[in-house]
Amino acid sequence: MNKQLMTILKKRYGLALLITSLCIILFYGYNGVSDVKRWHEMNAYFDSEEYIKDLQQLSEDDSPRYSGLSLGERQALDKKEGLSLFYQTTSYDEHGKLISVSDQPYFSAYFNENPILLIAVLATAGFLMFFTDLKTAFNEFLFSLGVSKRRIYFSKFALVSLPLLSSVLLAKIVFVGIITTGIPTEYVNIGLPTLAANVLASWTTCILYFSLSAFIGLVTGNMILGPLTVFGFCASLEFFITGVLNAWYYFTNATIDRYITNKFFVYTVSKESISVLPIILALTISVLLFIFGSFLFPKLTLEKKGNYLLFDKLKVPVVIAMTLYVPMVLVFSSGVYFGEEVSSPIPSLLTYCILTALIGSYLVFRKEINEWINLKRQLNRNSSISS
Amino acid sequence: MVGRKLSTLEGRIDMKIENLEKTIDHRVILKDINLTFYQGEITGLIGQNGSGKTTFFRTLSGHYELDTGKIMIDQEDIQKNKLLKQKIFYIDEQYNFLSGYTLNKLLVFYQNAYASFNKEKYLTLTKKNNLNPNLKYRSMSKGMQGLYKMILAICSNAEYLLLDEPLDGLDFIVKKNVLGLLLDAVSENSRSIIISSHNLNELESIIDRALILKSNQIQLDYHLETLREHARKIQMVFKTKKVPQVVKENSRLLHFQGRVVTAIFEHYTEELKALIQAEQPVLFEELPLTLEDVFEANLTHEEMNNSLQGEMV
Repeated sequence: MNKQLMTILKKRYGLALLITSLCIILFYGYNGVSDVKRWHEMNAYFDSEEYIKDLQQLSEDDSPRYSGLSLGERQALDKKEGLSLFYQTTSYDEHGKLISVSDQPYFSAYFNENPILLIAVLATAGFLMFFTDLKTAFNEFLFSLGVSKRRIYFSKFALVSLPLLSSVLLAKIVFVGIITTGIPTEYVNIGLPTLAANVLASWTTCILYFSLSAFIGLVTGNMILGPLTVFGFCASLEFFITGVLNAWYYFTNATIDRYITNKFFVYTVSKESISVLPIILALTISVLLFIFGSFLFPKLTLEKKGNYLLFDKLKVPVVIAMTLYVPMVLVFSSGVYFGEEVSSPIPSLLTYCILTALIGSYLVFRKEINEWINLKRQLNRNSSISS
Repeated sequence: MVGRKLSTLEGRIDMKIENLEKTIDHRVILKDINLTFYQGEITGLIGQNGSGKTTFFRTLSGHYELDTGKIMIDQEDIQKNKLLKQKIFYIDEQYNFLSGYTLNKLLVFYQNAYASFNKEKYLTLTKKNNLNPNLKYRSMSKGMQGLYKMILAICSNAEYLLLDEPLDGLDFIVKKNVLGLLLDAVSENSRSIIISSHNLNELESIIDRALILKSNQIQLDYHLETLREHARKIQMVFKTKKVPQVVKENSRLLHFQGRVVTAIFEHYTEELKALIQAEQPVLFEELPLTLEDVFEANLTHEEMNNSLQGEMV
């Protein structure tokens, strides 16, 4: 029956999966080719007469970084800075001396991955993996098959996530491959181990967003609130982590104005050193959600298919999670400055907590609240009739 | 194990439902359902709107999780041996995925869903009924959709076919085709067919057994042959407006207008007839008993405290 189940699932998702995977690979391939093309255009510009003429006209007063350099050396400097795969923001003193480069972030003009689009595609695919079958009544068919729901869960996950996530990895490798082979080696100022580590780290971030979205698609059933939840959660995840770190700094080191605004997870290939923590966190969360989902899915019963949450046992934990998550994002994600003139974040934290708890409780317990109101109304009506 | 061996020896697989309960949104929909469905039998599931007929089917077919209870096929719990679900065929009327697919693609889905799916029969039947395989299910008329679902049900070769209002909205010709297919399936393969329908006249002509679902439970379980043998519908006119005690005690009153009383006697005997005749009715006439009368007597005349004593479940 497992073979038949896979045939059914392939028939159901095969075409969509193939198109999505191909689109990801082609899009990354196209990006790689465009970036290489842009590099060659820049290279041609640095060799053009127009550029040489402009360079000759520049005085050392206007550009201290050129002080004491010949035309050829100026051109070589510009080429090195403008054509290298990665560069750090640099600043020079009035004598043209480089001030400091040690803790400046790296940038790249030739590595345009468009990670937001990729994350959006993966989050949508992950969310739809379970949500679509619930809303299009395909679950009714699947649940009638001679297989357990857990088998359906594993098969579906394997069939959808493996090709999709593999195509993402392949796309990233193709992208990096096109750029590193299309640009002369002297300008590829990144080592293969760093490159591979970055590719893998950004891939784990993709796995994380896919798993999160798949889990949300598994536990939600409302046509409006389900998509809103996945969008809100994916869009705010980085802010939440930043908020948690800032809150940590605030509550443990209240006198230091230290806060972070950088992204926690790795989204694109960079020359920055890779921290192991986001990779471990992304993989751990993904695995835990996958395991948790495998216990939840067999308990899914389709009379709840229109509910915001499909599992009653998740109702209270979700309200608690919302109550902690939203205020953390709203209050701490942009950092907290300390000073006499700035008020404490605690009152706004409490206000957001109360508001979120109220809204969250209504969304999650809407049916129960409406039933309770109707019962009250009926009791009042009955008592007024009897009196 | 002895029971299983016996069942296998007889070549008959039964579906036994034990203590089935289902609650939806804190409302009890099904309670204490204990039943056995036998092969070679067509069972009608009768109940008012909202009585839980569809919930019963959805629970049997695995769409809804059981709150409590067991569904046993050939002495094996379906919850433990999921492969047994292949023996049940059910397409939900309200929630099904068929509309987005062509008949060709639906064939692939159902062929893989049911191990003993009869493809040859499917192709023959679809061809015979002029169902174009490249047609999308949603582009077919309601009648053709009903016929197509019946073809799928029959070709699945599942032992238990759960059919929710299968004749609803079908024209005379299609209905005749569908009924023909159904009766063939039962006679050829000794299957068990459970049909819910509001059209009791149609149901009456095909079912062997009627289950009446009321107040979340299977209240009555009639074998129509037994019912027809022993029960009578009698119209009586008495001299006074008072209904004699013997009628009240032994029947379920259907109509009571002026002095005209129509009642159903489930255990009608010559002795009972003599007792009624002793009341000297002005009119005493036996009328044909229909399933609708049984349904009406059990489900719509609750105020009359006389119960037609079917086989209480």
